[in-house]
Amino acid sequence: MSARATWLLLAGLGISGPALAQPLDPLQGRNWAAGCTGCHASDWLSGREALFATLLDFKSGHRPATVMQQLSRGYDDEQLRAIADHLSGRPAP
Amino acid sequence: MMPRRRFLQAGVGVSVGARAAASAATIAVAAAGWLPARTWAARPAAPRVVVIGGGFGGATAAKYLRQWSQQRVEVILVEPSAHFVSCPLSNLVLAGVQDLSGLTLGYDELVRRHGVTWLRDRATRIDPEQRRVLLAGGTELSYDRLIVAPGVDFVWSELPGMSRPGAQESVLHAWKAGAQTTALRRQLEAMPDGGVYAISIPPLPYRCPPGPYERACLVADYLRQSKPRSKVLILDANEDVTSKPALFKQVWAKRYPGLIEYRPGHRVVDVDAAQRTAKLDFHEDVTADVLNLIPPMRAGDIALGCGLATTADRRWCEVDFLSFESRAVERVHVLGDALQAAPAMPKSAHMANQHGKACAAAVLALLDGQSVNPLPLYNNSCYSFVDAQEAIHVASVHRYEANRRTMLTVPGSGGLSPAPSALEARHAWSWARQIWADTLA
Repeated sequence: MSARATWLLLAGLGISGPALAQPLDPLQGRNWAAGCTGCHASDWLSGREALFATLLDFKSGHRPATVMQQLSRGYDDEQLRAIADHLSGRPAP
Repeated sequence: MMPRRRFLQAGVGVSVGARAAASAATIAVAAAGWLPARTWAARPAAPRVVVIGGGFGGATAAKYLRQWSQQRVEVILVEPSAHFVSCPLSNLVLAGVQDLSGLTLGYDELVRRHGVTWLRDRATRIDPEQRRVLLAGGTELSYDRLIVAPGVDFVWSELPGMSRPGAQESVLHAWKAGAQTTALRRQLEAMPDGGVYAISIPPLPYRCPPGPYERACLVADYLRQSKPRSKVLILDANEDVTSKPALFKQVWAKRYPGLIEYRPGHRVVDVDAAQRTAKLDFHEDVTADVLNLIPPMRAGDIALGCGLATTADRRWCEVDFLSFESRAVERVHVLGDALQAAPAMPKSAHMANQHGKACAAAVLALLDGQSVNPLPLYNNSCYSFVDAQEAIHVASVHRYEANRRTMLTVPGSGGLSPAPSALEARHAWSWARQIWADTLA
């Protein structure tokens, strides 16, 4: 369970407490990856490293595509990494 | 720092007017006398977000508010329509190759799977002071945050003849997929061979920039097979094709020579619906066998009524693109076609779906007392059929630019199809199925 989910559960039970430090990055990966799910079911993608490599290949043009080469160029490598992490269900540590 | 206090306050009943916990609120509110009998239940313990409008933007926001809060936020979707009818792909109905039923979906998964409360009613008034929404059926809803996703409505005042009795039943727009789509198809079926189908395009901004040109292609595809002596006349208020211009012009020249005639700078200023005549500024009247008038557009009615539409002659709603919060009304967020869009941001289904998620993320952060995502980053892709078998696309990536406080396209990203293809037509269909699922399921 994510820190956020834990917190939300606590909030739902009415248990207040000191603020939990909440890193922005997991949410940012989630937010950016949400840009993908208009076209791709999120469970369609899997494998963090393979997915990241695929995205980089689209971006470089090594992997032929109709749309993805155009969209991937709008994201820097760090952003593609965060998206791959999120979609593969394994957020970066 | 005061993180996440709002959830907690709402949860334990710290009494701040309508934000109090259920039991306290019921008593205090009844005593204060400003909630009528039909107010929707008592105040919930969970924060409540009301979403007005169940199109691509509003439905997506409703779903993701539930999903990303692990169902901890109550979401009420106010949408009067019994079904969701997809505008994307609806031009295929006009070509006679697709039934509208295949583009018609339900809201039941949002309710059953995600726990969205769907009220089949129409929002008539927003009271931002008391944070409540009035519905046509008499219900009042209080909210912690309100999302307004009303889509577009038409500026009929610019077309006086369209207010005459019967005019809007005979001269159709078919720009909101549904009954008008099938009615326009019937008009095309009844049109004699050798007839003229005229489509008029309003000035930008309007919903779905490439849509009218796609429609011209698909109607032409139907006519060349069924009524080959007929003609498609495009009356465009804009000075050039507003989307995918080179591709559409190439298609018209190669696939529909002598069938499609494009007239830029032709703005319809009035209509004689009985004669099916469009009156133009600076040009001669045009009379057609089927006149398909796409009127000038503005944000949906509810946005105009409560001061959300602030710009461009009060037609569109300005928002902070970090949060989609209205620049005019606190705690009210606006998204989708109703926005005063950022530069190069189209009014499209895909974009509204992306807005829905970015807005849901921001609303959840704000309910948590957190700062919103400082770098929204999302994309658009849009397919257009050029005949029943082949399609083209345009794609773009949009990133928040802090200096200019708006979304701008990322340099070097995006692009167009090199040419129409059957592969892209298949992609258009898979795009549609997935975005329907992402929005509604």
